[in-house]
Amino acid sequence: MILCPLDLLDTTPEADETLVRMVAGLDQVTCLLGSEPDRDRVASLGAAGAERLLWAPMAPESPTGLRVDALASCVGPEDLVVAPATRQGTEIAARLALRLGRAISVSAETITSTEGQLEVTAGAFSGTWRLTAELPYASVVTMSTVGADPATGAPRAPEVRRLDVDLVPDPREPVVIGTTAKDAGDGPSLAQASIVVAGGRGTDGDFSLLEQLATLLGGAVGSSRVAVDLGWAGPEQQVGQTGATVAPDLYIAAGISGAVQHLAGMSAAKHVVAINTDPDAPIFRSCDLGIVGDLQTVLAETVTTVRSHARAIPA
Amino acid sequence: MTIAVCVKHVPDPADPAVLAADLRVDREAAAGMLCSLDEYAVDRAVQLRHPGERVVAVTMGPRGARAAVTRALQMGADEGLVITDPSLAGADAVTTAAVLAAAVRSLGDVDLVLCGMSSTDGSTGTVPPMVADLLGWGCAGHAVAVVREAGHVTIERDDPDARRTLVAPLPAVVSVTDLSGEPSYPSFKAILAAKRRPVREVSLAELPVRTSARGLRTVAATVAPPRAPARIVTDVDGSGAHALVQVLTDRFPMGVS
Repeated sequence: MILCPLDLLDTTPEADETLVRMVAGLDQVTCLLGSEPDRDRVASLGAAGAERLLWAPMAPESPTGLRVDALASCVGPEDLVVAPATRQGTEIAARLALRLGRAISVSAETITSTEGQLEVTAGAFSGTWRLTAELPYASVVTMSTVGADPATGAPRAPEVRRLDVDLVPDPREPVVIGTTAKDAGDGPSLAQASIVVAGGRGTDGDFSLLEQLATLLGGAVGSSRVAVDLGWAGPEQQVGQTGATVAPDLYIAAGISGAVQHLAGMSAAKHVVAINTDPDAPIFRSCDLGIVGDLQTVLAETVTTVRSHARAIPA
Repeated sequence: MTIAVCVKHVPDPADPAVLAADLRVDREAAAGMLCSLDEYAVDRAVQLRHPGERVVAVTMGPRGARAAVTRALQMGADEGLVITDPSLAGADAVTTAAVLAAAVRSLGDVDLVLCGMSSTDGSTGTVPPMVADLLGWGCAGHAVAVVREAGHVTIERDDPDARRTLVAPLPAVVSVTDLSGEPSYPSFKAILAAKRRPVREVSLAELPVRTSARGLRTVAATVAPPRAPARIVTDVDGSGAHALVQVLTDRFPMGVS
C-alpha cells in the first residue's frame, strides 16, 4: 500500500490529485486528509486512483507533528509513504523517516518498483544532473508534481473512514499565533501557469509591463530572488532553488542574469525567452530565444502588438 | 547560553558538480565553500547573540570542511566544532542529523540551533527537522525573520497562501531562508580576529553516534542535456519584440494571433 499525506498547508487539491495519479499505477493508494472530504473531493481523488481516504481533524495550521503522528499510526511495515515535495511535505517525510528508521528520497520526479525495490529519479545540483537511486519499497519519498502530467488509470470509488487515533499537539512544537492571508489574485498560480513572465534586477523595480503581458497571456508573474529581496515582488513569486520550481510552456526572463540558483527553478520550462541588456549574461546560455536589449522597450512593444492582435479577433 | 549554528562545506554551485565513482559528490575534487544558505543562519545567530553568550559553528565533514567553520568565524561566530571521521564519508541525512544533534548536546547549554533552509548540494532540507526531533525540541522552519525572547523564539514564515507568525518554546531549532536578510560581508579586521578563535576537531570516538545505512543507493547519474544554443536577437527598431511575438504566435496561436 502507498500512503499519501495530503491537504497540507502548501499543497492544492489539484497538486494532491496529480500526486495520487503519479503513484496509482504502482500500488493501492490510501490518502490521509486533514478534514472529512466532501463528495466532490471523494470523487476527484477516486478519479485520480485513490482506493481509500482516511481523515483526521488536522487544520492547515495545526503543528506538523500531528501529521507525522497520524501517518505513523496507520503506516504498516510494508507500506511506502509518498508525500508532496513541498516544505511541509518534506518536514513530514524527514520526521517520519527518522521515526520509522526508513530510507528517504526527496523531490523524486518518477518512481517505479520491481521486486520489492523502488527506483526514483530526481534532478540534482541545480538541475544540471539527473540521478537514479534505488531504495527499499517501504521507504519515505517526496515527489514533485510540478510539470507532471501523469496518465489517469481506472477511476475508483474510495472507501472513506475517519482515522481512529487521538492526536495531541506536542507543546514543544511551534504554534501559529498570527496569519495574514495573501491576495490570491485573478490569474493562475505560478506553479500552474503555462506562461510565466519573470523579472529580476534589470527591471529596476518596475514590473508593470511584466504584469500587463502576463495578464494578456493568461500567465503568472515570477521573479528572481534579488527582486524579492529588494521588495519588488512578493516571496511567493520567487522562482529558483529556494523558491518555486516551475515548468511552464513558456518562461520569459526579463532582466534576470541567470544565476544557477535561479536556473534550478525554471530549467524544466519548455521554451525560454530571455531579455537582457548584457549580451554575456549567463541566462543567454540557458534559453531558446535571447533578446539583447532594453526589457521595458521590448515588453512595451510586445504588449502593444499582443493587444492589437487581441482586438482583431471578433468577440 | 550558547547558540549553535549548523553549517556545511559544499562545492561551489557555480562549478560543474563532480561525482566520485560511487556517484556521491567528490568532496576532494571540488573547491568548497560555506554553503551560501548557511551564511544567513550564521549572520542571524550573531545578531541574536546576547552579551556574554557564544555562537558555535558546528559542521560534519572531511578535514577540508573546517573551511566552512573558518568562514563562520570570520562572519562573527565565536567558536567552531568540526566532526570529522572517515566512517562518515557519504553519510545520509539521518546520520548527519544524528551527528549534529550529538554535537549540539555536547556543547551543554544550547538553547537555540540555527540552520540554513537546505544545503545547495544535497538540497534535501531534511536535516533541520531531524536534528530537532533527535534533540526532542521543536523545529520552526523557513523563517524570514527571527526574534529571540525569554523562553521562546518568534518567527515569521512566508507560506504560499499567507504570511504566518509562529512561536516555539526554547530550546528550539530554527531554519532560516535566503529572504531573512543579506549577511554582512566580513571586514579585514574580522577575518584577522577569526584566526584567534578556537576550533575543535573531534572524531566519532569522542562523540559516539549510532550510524546506520538505510538503503538508499544512487545507481545512475547523467548530466542533464543542455538546452540547444539560443537564437540571439539584438533589439533594433522593434526586432526584439517582433521575435518574442513570433514565439507567442507560434506556440500559443489560440491566445495571441
